[in-house]
Parts: sequence; structure tokens; C-alpha cells
Amino acid sequence: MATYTTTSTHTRTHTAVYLTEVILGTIGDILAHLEIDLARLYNNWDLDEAAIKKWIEEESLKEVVLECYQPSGLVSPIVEFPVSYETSGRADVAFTEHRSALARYRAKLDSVPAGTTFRLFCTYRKTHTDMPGWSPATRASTTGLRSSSFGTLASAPHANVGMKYLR
Amino acid sequence: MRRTRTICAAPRRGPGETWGTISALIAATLDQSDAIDGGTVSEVLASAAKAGLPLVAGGHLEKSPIVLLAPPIHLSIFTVSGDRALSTEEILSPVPGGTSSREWKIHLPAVDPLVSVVKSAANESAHLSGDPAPEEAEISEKSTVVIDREALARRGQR
Repeated sequence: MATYTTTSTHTRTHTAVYLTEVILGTIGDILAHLEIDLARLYNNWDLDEAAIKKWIEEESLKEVVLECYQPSGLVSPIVEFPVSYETSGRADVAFTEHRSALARYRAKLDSVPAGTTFRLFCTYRKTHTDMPGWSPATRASTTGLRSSSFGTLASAPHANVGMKYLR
Repeated sequence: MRRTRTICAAPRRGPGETWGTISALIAATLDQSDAIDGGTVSEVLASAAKAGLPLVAGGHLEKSPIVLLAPPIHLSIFTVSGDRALSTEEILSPVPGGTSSREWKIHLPAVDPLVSVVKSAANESAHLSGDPAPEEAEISEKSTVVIDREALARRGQR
């Protein structure tokens, strides 16, 4: 009986593309769940996707941060997506994500008042490539916010991404 | 004439490129008909991207497809991601049978939590809908029937 084998090389680009999709998809789902207008996310999609993918690929990205700005001035919730990197690609690691569990987790998110907007930030673990549409900025303080960890949001051969919720 | 196509998303393609691939498939399928204006199709797909991009990136199209109704064509478009996206063989050629199509509508899946996003995008065009697609390749009598009469007239002038 003939046997067949398949091999596929999982590149760092594959890892970057996959984790970028999960991060942006999760941000879109969270914003929609909180009924925050997604227009800015859609309008800047190509730039944001290209930047996050690039920074994961070069392993400079530390985390992506979603900050929600309420009309009162309160910045809450804040959602952090920390990225951790493998020193060498693990051929036995598949591309996995936990979006079904995320759907249940979203139910726990506090609602926000109408008019709440959002901003995206990226922090870095080393020198990074300048990318269009992104400029230096300062994150809101997280002092006094309680942190809750979702755990690993997605895994890929060269890196993983987690999620933390601060409110 | 029911057809299903599966588009490979991440890690093969990012969400922007995946949406572009879906749009190209829909546009090429509708382009077979002389009665359907390509410019209108492009405009509608651009409007649909407001929902299409988060639908792709959120993995929602893996279970709930985008459905193109252009009688006699009933085309369901799914995505796959992860390891399957690297191993699934795609068929990206236009779905045959569209030369006789006159009416067309794109049904976007109104799935949680993107229901409002989908409904809002659908409100931008009579060729978009956030309602479930009919099972058969016909546009519901309850929905607005949209025929591109100007497109028919332009085609007739060629």
C-alpha cells in the first residue's frame, strides 16, 4: 500500500500573519461587543495589519494594547495582547487559537457608555522598523486597574499571543 | 445551482488579502453576466469590507459563510485558518453559470458579536443583506429586487 507524507515549512512570516489576524480579529470582536464604533479600525486596517505583522516577524513587538476612552475621561477597559517568542521554531507546534473560549469570556466584559472611543498602541522589546500610520505616543496609566488574564489566545510555531483585561 | 468555495485565510493570507480574494471571486463570478455592472459590484464590495474584514479576522466565516445569490448561482464562501489554511486546495476561478444572472445580492452572516456591524454595512446597499440567504438560488420576494437597468442599457450600446 502506498503511503504519502506531507511536509510544510512554517515560516516566521506564517507565524506573524496568523497572530496578526487573531489580534485584529479579537480587537474587532471586543469593540463590536462593547458597541464601540469600528470605523477607525476599518479605516486604518491595512496600515495596522502591515505594522503588527512586520513587528511580530522581526520579533520587536512586545504587546498590542487596546485602550477604551469613555466620555467621562476614564480609560477602561484596557486590553493587552502580549507576544512571547520561541528561540527556535517548533515544527511540532500547530497554529491554534481559542476564539470559541473568547466568545464566552467576552460576556464578562463590562459595558461602556455610548460615545466611548478607542486607541491602539504597540510596545516593543527592541528596536523596531518604523511603519506608516504609527507614531510615538504615551499609554494611559494602568494604576488602580484590576488585571484579569485570559491566558493564551493563539499559538504558532515561532510565537504565542496572550490576552489580559484591565478595568 | 449551489456551490461552495473555501478561501484560505491566515497563515496563508492576512485578513486584508483574504477579503480581497473573496471580493475578487465574487466580482469575477458576477462579471460573467452582461446585465451586471462591474463598477457597481466594486462599490458594493468596498462597502461590504467594513463588515467583511472583521468577519474574516474574527474567524467567523469558518462556520458562517458569505452567500452570493445571483440566480441561478447560490455561492457559499467559507474561510479556513490555521494548519488547514496551508493544506487546503483552493478553487479561485469564477463559479460557472453566471452568464444568465440578472439579479444579485450578497448575504453577510450577522453573527455575534458583529450583528450591528453587518446590519450597518448591509444598509449601505440594496445588493447587501444581513439576513440569512434563502436556501434556493432565488432572491426572496420580500427583498428588494435590484436590476441594473443602466448596466443593461450600457451593454446594449456596445
